[in-house]
Amino acid sequence: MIYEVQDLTFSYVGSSRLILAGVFLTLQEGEILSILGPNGAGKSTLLNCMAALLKPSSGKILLAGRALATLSPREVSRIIAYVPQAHTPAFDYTVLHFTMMGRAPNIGLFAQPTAEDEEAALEVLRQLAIEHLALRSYTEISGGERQQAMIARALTQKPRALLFDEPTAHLDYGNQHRVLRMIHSLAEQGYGVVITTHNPDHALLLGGKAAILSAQGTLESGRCEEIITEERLKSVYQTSLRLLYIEELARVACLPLSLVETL
Amino acid sequence: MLEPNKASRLPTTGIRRDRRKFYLILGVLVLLLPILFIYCLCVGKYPVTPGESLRILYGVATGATRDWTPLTESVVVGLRLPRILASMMVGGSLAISGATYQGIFKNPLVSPDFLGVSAGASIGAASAILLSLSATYIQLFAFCGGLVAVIATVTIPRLMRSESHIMLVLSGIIVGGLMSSIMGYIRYVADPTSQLAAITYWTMGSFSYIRMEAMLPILPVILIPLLLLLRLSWWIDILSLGEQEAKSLGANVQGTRYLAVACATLLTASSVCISGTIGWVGLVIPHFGRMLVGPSNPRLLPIAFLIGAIFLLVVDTVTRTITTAEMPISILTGLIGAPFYALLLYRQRKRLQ
Repeated sequence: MIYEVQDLTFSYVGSSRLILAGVFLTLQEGEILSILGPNGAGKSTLLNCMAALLKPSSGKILLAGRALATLSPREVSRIIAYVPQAHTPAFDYTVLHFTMMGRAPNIGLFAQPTAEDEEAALEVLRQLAIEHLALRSYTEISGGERQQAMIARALTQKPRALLFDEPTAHLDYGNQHRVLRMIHSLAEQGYGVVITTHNPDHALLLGGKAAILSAQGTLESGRCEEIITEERLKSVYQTSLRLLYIEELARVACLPLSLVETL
Repeated sequence: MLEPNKASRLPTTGIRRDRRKFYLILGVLVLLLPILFIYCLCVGKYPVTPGESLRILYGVATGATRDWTPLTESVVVGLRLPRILASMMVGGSLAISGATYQGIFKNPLVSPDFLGVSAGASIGAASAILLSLSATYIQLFAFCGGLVAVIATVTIPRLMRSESHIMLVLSGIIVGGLMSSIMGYIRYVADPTSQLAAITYWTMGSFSYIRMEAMLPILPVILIPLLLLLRLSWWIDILSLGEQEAKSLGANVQGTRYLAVACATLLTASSVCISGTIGWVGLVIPHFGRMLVGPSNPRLLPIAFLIGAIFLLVVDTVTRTITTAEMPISILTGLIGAPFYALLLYRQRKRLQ
């Protein structure tokens, strides 16, 4: 078991509103968990708590059996890699240099990466088939490539689990699916994966586990097909939609109703 | 038989070429510095040949018999040598501290001046001049003034319970504004016949009054932070990704940031102690360095140090040779730095958007 989240609550200092109200979760190696929820429900907050970037108000998170709160950032970074939303950094490091930063958990404060670290980073770029980007500047590649470079850096950390904050946001249609495929294959390779997403269909595509966070901060989690139901989605998103089994795709898809009310 | 895959060979050759380019630039700068050093020892109102200046340096160091005039020796060793060493140290220090601030505050537009360090240090110096204290006290006051300014700049965001970088920059503006008012007052009450010129020289920067004895105690305060920053450089890259990402990579964000800012501040304050405030070097040189070797600090910091050292050495030599009445060095660094910075921004406009 990588993650055990027990009765987690979170509210921002000075605010009485509970963003997370008693959340329970588990995650194992090779398992994908997609967290859904409306805007502002606290999906990223939950992810940040799991990444030890935010301190929960109460409750407990066990990471590989140890209390997350007692681990140092360095110890955490050796077990989990956090993949933030793709962004533009202030400096245009090369993709190789950027990827090599994933070796940070193994590099001392007054030390610098060695040839061995460079080789490890190149190896990951090779695995993800983006080796050709190695010397390109991180700011001049496309959003999709940037997301891949971010994943490369995360894998260079050699974590057991990966946390993705809206990995498909700001990506075009093709890149969204490329990134989802990559995430799916990571789970198959044995990484535990948690993603937040706005698209229920992405959760259905990925399969595995799903969790729906309500605006009240309560969370329901379980197997994807049990959690993602028409009633739940309708009540959480306050919109009309259908879950349909599509024969040609051999899967259930989540589709919105027509914009003009005809039914 | 397996043909070596072309795609997999490409980055490795590229990486090697990239590394060669860096070492080439480093090598050229490392060679250029001593050449300019000798050249600048020789030029001036009292010209000396390179051979003679080298012989004098060697002779003074080893205590060999003197076959040159005492005047030549005092010009080369007494006047020019400390001045040249000082301008190199100050140029390099300002450039490295500028690059560090830019990395730590993940903002390529900040400079050592923005934390109020330079302003605080010049107020310290000006107060000492106002009180008619000796040169040693002027430097001590400059140092304390710089430290007080940084502490004020760093404390304001904490009082507002904000850790954002914008708040720190705004706080720098607040402290800087306050400092310039105080400076205005000092200038207003200073004796125009005796003190005002000295104060002006301090705020505009000058290497004219450098003495070796005054520089030596400052040397460790420059060398130690300099070496620390060179060792920290890769972690400055990590911090430049932002607090959250740095933390998720296992960085000790607060500790590393404080250490780096403290080192950069010590460098800036020591520089002001030596030569007064000199603008533009800390802002422009790191940009120029990034253009040459990229933004990664393990490469940038040594390159920035060398370019900064060369730049101030040359500019100072120009200021002391170009006119009979020596002008403050900030006039020239501004005249060169500002248009050059505009040019750099123009060239980088796509990246900055």
